[in-house]
Amino acid sequence: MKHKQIFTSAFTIMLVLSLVMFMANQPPASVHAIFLGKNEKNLDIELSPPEPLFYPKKDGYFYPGSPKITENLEVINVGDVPFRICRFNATSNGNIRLADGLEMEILELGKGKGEKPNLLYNGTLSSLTEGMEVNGKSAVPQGKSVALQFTVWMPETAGSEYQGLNMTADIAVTVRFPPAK
Amino acid sequence: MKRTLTAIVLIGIVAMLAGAGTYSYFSDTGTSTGNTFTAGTLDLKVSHSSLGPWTDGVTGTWTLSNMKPGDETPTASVFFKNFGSLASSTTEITCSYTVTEETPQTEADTDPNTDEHPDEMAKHMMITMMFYKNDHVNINGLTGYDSYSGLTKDDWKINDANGDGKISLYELKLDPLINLPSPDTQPNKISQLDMRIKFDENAGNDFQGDAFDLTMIFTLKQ
Repeated sequence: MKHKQIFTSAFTIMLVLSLVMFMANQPPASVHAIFLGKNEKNLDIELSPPEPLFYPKKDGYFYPGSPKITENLEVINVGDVPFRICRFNATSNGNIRLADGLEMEILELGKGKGEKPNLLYNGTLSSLTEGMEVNGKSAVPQGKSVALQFTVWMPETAGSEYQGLNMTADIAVTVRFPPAK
Repeated sequence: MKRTLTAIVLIGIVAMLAGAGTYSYFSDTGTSTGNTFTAGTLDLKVSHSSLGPWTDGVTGTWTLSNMKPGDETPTASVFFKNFGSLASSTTEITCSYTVTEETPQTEADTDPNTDEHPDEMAKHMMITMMFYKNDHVNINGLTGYDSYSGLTKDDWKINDANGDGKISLYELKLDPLINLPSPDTQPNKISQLDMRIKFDENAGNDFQGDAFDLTMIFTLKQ
């Protein structure tokens, strides 16, 4: 009887601890509440511009060797704690075969003059749909931002199989706290 | 019982530590939505008239029925136009061909297997006139000379591979015309090819009864 009580207690404690850890590791909502001591802190980012970075009316059509299209995306810290860029993920719709024929480079731009940009990703758009862990260079404090430079192009070696294809991609940027490497 | 409990508790602790090691930070995600990527198209269509109708292929442009050595087609033309979303810059012209042996075999046909080596017959199908033209160019494919600009280019000329002073369809296949200014490079967006073909006077009995099927291939390039 005594053993049964001990077993039940241990099982309950483990179940509660597991649930706590499970909830703590859930994907974040738009704002993530963090308790540091008695104070509640928020890990929260906004992206600027909120409009799509790439669209044909502005960029024209892609073709083998077409000009590279470069756009900047600002990741703004609107929370209370610093962050670091840690992951990219793209979700594609439409003729997603086109993602195999498009190359993408993502740079984290430096703050000061002469500061070298940090290469975060260089590969096909289709590889980005599998998600990519990256290591941002800057720890971005509260109220500051970091600029990401996205460049997309179709290599000269791309074949006719991509002609006329059209797709959309949502590009997700994930940041982490604590920002320490 | 005590051992079982100890084991369960240990497994639980190890699992929690492993979990803590794997997920050691909090995260937040922002998404740039609706990014749209579109690849352009080149869509070459051809016609027997500059007024259309425009299709992906035309047939029977150069025809010689019951031909004999020395026979020549009249001048015939193919017009081409790009209906794609991208502008092209150059055109390439080449050809392919097949030979069909007659059935039953003619006794006088001294090569009953020309269909297995069609190049031999193509060497006797001579191009006697070939002009690629649009509003900006009038290029002689046999000399590479553009009478509008006064320029002569090797790319615009079929090389006389065997040096006999004649140009055959075999030589066009070997040495396509390349870098011709495409239909998109001038105002009316239409180019045309004028050509005449002659069955060589020196063609022998090897080709009696044989049918030569020519496919002209036009390609637009960016």
